[in-house]
Amino acid sequence: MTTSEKNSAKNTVSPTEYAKFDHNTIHQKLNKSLSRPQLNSDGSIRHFLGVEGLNKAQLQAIIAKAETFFDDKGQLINSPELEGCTVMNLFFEPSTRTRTTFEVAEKRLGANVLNIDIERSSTKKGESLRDTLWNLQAMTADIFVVRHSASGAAHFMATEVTPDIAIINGGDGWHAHPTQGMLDMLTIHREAPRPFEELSVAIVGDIKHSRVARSDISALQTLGVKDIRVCAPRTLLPKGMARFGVKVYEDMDSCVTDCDVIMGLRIQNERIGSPLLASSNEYYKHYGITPERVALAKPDAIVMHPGPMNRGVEIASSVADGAQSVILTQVNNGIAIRMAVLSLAMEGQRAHQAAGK
Amino acid sequence: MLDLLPKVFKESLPSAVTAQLATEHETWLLPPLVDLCARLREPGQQQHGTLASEGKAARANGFLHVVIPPDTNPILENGSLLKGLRERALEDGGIYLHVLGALTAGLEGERPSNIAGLKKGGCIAVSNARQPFANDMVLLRTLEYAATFGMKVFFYPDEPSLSKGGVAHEGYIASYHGLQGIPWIAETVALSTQLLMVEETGIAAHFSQLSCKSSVELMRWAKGKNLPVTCDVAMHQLHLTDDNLEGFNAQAYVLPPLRSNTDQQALRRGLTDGTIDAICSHHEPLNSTAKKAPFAESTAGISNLDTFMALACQLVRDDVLTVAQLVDKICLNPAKIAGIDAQYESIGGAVLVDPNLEWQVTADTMLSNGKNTPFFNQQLQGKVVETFFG
Repeated sequence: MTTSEKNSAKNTVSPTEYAKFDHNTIHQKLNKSLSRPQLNSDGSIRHFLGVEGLNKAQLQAIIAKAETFFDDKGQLINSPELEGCTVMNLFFEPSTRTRTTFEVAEKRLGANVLNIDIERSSTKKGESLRDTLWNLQAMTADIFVVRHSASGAAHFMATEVTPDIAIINGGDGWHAHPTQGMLDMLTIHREAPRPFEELSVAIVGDIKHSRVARSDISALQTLGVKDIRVCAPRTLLPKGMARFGVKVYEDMDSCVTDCDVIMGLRIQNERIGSPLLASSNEYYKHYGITPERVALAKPDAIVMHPGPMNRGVEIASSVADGAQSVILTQVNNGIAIRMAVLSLAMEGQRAHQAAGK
Repeated sequence: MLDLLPKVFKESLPSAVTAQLATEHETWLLPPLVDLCARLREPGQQQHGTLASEGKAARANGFLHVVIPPDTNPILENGSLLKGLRERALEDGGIYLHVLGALTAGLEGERPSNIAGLKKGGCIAVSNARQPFANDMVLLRTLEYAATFGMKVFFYPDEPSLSKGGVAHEGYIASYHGLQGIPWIAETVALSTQLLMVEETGIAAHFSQLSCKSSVELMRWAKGKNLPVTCDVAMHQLHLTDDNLEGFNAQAYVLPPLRSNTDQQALRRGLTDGTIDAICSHHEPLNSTAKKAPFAESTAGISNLDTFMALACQLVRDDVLTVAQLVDKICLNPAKIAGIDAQYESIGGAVLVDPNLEWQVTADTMLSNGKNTPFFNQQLQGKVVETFFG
């Protein structure tokens, strides 16, 4: 038995459990229900609510579109595709990175940008989300970029707004963060050593509370990755994880062995309502992305993290700043992906409006 | 079909009805339905429904007797309030209202309510609805106090430290949608404690809206020990599972949550083998804006009176129950559990059901003010076609 086989045998949650379920059928059914509101009848994107339900060609089109926003030297370019359009960034919960990169993307596309600080406005006075939304749409805009603490909020808004407005999900509860998912796919596409179909991807950390993990898993599956591994203590794993069609590990060393991509996730202390971990030190010891664990992966593996990082808890500083880290590249790619999604959604809205006329 | 009616109900029927039945094709004549848990939204939540609107919906759908829990606004802990409510339910809605009084003062779980006064005021039993108790000692002493006055207790088992913040059954479907889960043990941990308290105090208890396989097993154990306990299940739990949450379907958001297929099958088996005594509607009508929010921020509840009989007919078609067993679960047993047998028999009445009648669930075909149902726009089979209530 090889070291890798021995390590695999150590899995305390049986990776064969997932094989009992026809996850493709289940996923197709669930994906279809979630993707229904976001596509025009011709399959083009009308709202961007999640990667679930989008097919491989659609995800590849987003990646390809994002690639057009880089010049020959790999620098981001401006492209006035949204000139004359108004984009409102509606952030119902705090965000710096996502909101800033959306704003940069919108400005690079020439859009008029409005940042509405809803966190401290009408909803605090008791106004319902529906009324807030209707008031904002009365101010006329083309795109709402929405972040909300409730899972499904973007889907709800897509059913409530007028047909003239596209909703882009900037993160909803624990459910989805599709632009983060797609920027991760762009990063893997550009930086990983092998094509998607040949990759082994390990996602480690707080999967239970992570909208990024759900979007990443869905996108990786659609793009053809067959070996998706997740690893966390049981308290940070959602119930039924194996039914997502991934291999579940509780032993970090086994999980990262021979993989091509290690994706770390932040421990979302603000979302954790009860004690799920003994201590940061113990977590780091068992689940931290350390140089020793990176050495178990393939020599050309890349290390990713959506940030913000807890250094010394989720990841060692030497790994975060090391040669295999693509963490800052992810941030840069995030602007290109958000430009691509904004552009495609606007295109889809125009097609929808033209079809209506 | 007349055989399904107890003698007193047969005698109360107009002779024209019995003659008509002889010519009817495959209809069922049932005694009036008794609902062990419905929220009619009065007092305090009339924006969702009223005694008049929900009473009329209940009556047209075969329910002549309805039990309401005490978590209204104000809370039902005052004998003088109850009399007025019962009178208005009969006058405005045409139904007999049976009230559960608050088990603890203000439902705060800190000390017993005025249980003797509530009994005098006509409460059929007491309950803390889904509100928690401060600690197990409060629960024990409160049950002893209620037992002193011979009051039955209705439980809606839920351990809040395990269910708090949850909106869906803790499992794959909740995980997929990123919704906070409620583990099944939130129900069974509470149920276990309450059953042991019943054993200790000897109080008669009814456990309402069980949703989990393990709850059925615990009830089987309790009945095996001859504890004075009964239980019911909400009709929707026998037909829906957490799969119905697919796509953030807020119409399927209910507490206790819709659980897994395994749980649903266990509930159906429990019904067949007699472990589960009754089926309630757990009717919770809501106005049109209550579900207009992201799933977890919408209001929990399903409007069930209008779809109840169609789903009951489906249980017969699925061979879960015979028609005679169905009568036990939705008419006779609930009357016994509510302790209203004598009144029930003296009032009499009958319900004519066409189990094959197909109809569509729409705003027009639903009589309840609440149109909040996951069955909306679906074609269902089975309906009350006439009620013979005095």
